[in-house]
Amino acid sequence: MQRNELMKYRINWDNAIIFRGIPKIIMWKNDDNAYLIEPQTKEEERALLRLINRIYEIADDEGVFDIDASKMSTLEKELFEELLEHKVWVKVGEKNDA
Amino acid sequence: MMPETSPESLDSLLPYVRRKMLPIHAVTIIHREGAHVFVGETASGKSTMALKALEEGMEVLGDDNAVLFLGSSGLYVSTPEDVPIVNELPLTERGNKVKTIRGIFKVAGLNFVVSIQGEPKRVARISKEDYAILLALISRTISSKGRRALSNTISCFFPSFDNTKFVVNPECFEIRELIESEPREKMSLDECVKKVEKYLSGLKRFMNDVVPKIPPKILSAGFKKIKRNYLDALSYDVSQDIQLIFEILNESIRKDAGYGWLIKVVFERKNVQKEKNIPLHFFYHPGVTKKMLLSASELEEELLKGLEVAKKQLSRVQGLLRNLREFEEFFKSLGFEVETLGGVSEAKSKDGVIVGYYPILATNDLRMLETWFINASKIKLAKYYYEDLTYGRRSLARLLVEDDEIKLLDLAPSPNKTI
Repeated sequence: MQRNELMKYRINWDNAIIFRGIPKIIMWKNDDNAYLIEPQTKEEERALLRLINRIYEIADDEGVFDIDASKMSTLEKELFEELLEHKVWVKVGEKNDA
Repeated sequence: MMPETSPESLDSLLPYVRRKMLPIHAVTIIHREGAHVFVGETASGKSTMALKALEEGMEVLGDDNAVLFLGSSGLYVSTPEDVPIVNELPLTERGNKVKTIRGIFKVAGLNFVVSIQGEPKRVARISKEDYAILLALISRTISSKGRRALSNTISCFFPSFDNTKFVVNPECFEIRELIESEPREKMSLDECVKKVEKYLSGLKRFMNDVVPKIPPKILSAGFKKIKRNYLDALSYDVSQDIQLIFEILNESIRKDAGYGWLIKVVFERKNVQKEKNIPLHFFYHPGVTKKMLLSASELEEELLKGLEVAKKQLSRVQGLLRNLREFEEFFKSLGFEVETLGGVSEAKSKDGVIVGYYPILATNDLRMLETWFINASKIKLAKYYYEDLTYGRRSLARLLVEDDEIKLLDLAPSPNKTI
């Protein structure tokens, strides 16, 4: 049986803007400087789009969502982790027993 | 990517965004019953386009602000006044503001405009995704709530984004050409952002150009002299009922239009409560000529010149607001057609563009005042403030006088939000 890795995260609206349906993310380093996170390949683009759309579906009004990394594709998981490092979303809860 | 900040923030507009409406800094031109929205920052050419459209007999929706929202069959646009937010801060105060046209229109095209001096005019297709990104980048929302709401709102909208174009130097196009163009060239987001950055640096250079290079000492000395001469204000009795007041201010409006003295020219009716009294406020700003700041003696000359110009106009100006009859006479004297029905009067140009209303103050709407200036371009004042005393707001328009024609340079809200 696959191990459940359900974790709670929150979209970091302080730093980021993500749009449903758009595989690009705007990040602000501070109020003066914005930069864009763009996928480098078509595969990355599709994976990022799937990821963003899924998060939009499961996130609540505050941008908080539970997601199980074990159910993502390898590429989606890599992107998710990378964006976690960029603080596009931040972890707000430890492993959930749900 | 976008190294500019602005005091404007979408955060004050949260009531709209929370309701899945998107307030934008845009001019909207109605053509063949479709709304063509041109988004851009200050001095990007929007107002010039609006005026051109009015001159060509097209309708322009509202003034500098528009609200996008989703309707039954796609994206719609209206003015903030027509989608009032009850019990929360509205985008602009509700009231009897006269708009060139009001209503709700289906969006037929979305355009992003920038003005870059020295670059050729250009119009290119961009993807709706890139348009959404550009909208977010210039919205400059700074709180997490604002960004969250903006993300949600644009996410809802963007499937309905159609005919998205990026326009360089919109003022160099004929309006129909701009609206009806179907560009084959496609512009990438990277290139768009580079253009926006170039536009912003150009804007900075322009601002630097109009800031006179003069040591603060001289400026201060000059101002003192004026204060001594005029005690801050010069009053001129025009008639038994009307007085003309020049106020000399050392207000810095560097951000909007450079630095310098402002000479406020106010026509006032005597013995009337001031709040109900001031029909027109003109500010003459020598700095806008891009010359050095005037010395005190030169400023005196300017004052006298301004007085002469104002005196010539007074027979017209004093008739502006007294009553319906004066209103009619005033606009008829300028060559406009005036129609009165049931105590409500409209003055129109030959093209049918409404340039004045009674009983709503003729100067109570910035767009109308612009139109008025363009059509009656006899008053050689380089710049004016529009003051809405009822709501305590100011807007600023910069005008350039060239060959007896007044050219609108820019429209912007004043940094002083309240009077």
